[in-house]
Amino acid sequence: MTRTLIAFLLVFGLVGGATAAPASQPDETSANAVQLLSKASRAVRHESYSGVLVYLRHGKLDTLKVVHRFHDHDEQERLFSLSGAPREVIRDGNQVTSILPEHKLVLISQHPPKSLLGAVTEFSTRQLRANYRVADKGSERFAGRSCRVISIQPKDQYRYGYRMLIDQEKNLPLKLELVQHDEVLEQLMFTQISFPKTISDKEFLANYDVSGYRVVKHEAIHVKDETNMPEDSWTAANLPPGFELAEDGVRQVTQDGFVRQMLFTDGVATVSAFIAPAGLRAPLKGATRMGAMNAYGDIVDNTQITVVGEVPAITARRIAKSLIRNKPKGSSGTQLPK
Amino acid sequence: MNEQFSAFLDNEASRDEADSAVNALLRDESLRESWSRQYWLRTTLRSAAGEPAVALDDGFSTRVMEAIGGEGHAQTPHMTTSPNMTPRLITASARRRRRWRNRAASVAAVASVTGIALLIGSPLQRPGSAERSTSEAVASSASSTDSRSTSTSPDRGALVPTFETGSAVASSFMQAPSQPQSLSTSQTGSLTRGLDISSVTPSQQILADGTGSAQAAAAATRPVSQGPADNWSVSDPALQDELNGYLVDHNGMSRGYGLSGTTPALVRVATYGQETTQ
Repeated sequence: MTRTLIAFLLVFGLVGGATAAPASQPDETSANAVQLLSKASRAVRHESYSGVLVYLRHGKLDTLKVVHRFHDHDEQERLFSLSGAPREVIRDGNQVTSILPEHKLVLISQHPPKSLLGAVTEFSTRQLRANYRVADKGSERFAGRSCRVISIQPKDQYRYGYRMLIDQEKNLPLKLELVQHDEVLEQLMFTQISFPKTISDKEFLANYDVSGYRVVKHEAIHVKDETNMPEDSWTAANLPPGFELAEDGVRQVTQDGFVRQMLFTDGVATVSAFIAPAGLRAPLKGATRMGAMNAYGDIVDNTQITVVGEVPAITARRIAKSLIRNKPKGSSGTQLPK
Repeated sequence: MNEQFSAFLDNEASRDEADSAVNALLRDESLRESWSRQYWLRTTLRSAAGEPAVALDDGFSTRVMEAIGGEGHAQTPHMTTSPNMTPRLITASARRRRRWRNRAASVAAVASVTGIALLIGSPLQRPGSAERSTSEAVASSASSTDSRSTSTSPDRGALVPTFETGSAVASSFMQAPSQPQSLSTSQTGSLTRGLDISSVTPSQQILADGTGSAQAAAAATRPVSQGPADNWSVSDPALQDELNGYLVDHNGMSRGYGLSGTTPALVRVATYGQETTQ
């Protein structure tokens, strides 16, 4: 969720498409650096830590308190905002609870276990090496701790670069920068961090008395359980170099309405294409963006395609343009326009 | 250090200067507050020129004083301008603004009043929003926020949240095709994206007023424009909500791929809409 985190400093380089990174540099990806990334990926979910996160984007600064532990085979995590609107998010295993005190609202979302496991195993070093140069840039002090600096440089203009400071002792990433053209687009960093041996149960309890709050529950259900799946399917014919289809799923949004989500990744960045019937709301055609996130909308065959991801604008556009509807196998198809 | 922040905020800082500014921010709480304040003043100043006149209300000076006192950063309506126009605006006015700093409070006060009034006023001014209750609006917004998992979740969607309390949402969804501007799922806009509205329009006006360019006028009418850092650069709040919903779904599905495992996963959930939730 890195791309997710993205915050923001100097945004203005994004629009016109990126310039290619110098292609002449040797592939300096080091096995050590890649290994360190894998360790970081594990540490962020398995370590116990408590700290303050600062999230910078485009001159905006949010601060969050974070406590995290791996307890009884489950990840437990609690974040609450120290700035801005009061908000609290608690993860306990597969359940995420968001509390919005100002609205007296509690949202409970249950995830399929899959989404919480396997993060490390799906960290594709093959793709990472193919699309980025990963280098160990030495050590640096940060937040009073000694860190390794890992640079992840894109090999072309279809992706951002990253710079990560990873705690040398605990392997936890303490600072992450999203970079394009030597500009830092967003930063996420711990300004305080501690690694207590144990964190008490009460640290993971909500601050707010939620009695009287309205509770909204979302329970994820596997698509396989559904009987009235849409019959159409889509193929990405001309993806940006290095991107591959990672997941292809369908979400039911109304009794007979579905949104297909196709997830693409290049080993570092991820992009989703959402495919839904057109006409449900004002069409989105063309590019739009929010910080480092780019989106591109297109309408094909009476279908709204929306691509969203933490990638440069040209990448979102190319993915949107690459999607082709497969010919229906059955006789009926799904009211496919031609 | 103040000059460094100024350059930083105006995007005139070099990488080293930016780093240095950030490091200083990390070290020093008072600097952070100062930085917050400077950012707040800038955004309000940028917006002030294009703000429509809005009647003042009794509490405004209190809020202004709070904001100037350093608490306003987070509450400040997000008034970004498009990346295309911002650099121009900044370079044109950066020095002037620095000179103005001492006088900035009064200008900012006016801006904040208009901003806050817009924020509060938006829901009431929206056509069709009266039927929607606040809580439902929040629910639809927050459900997007929360449904990170959900490539497979049938009971909520980026297009139409259909959770249990969502009957009003559903009905507004039904109206959506005929009146996309009435915000289908996005009465949230009333609360959360309301700011986007108050931000997009004024900033476009700034551009129009400030530069008089034809491009500016065009930008004001295009459904899709190049946009700000914290809000989707589309003017239709329903679209913004849908994109936010997609963003959440994207984050849900992408967890575990690429670098998504290397950072605490819930930060975006916790900050999502922060800048716009009042």
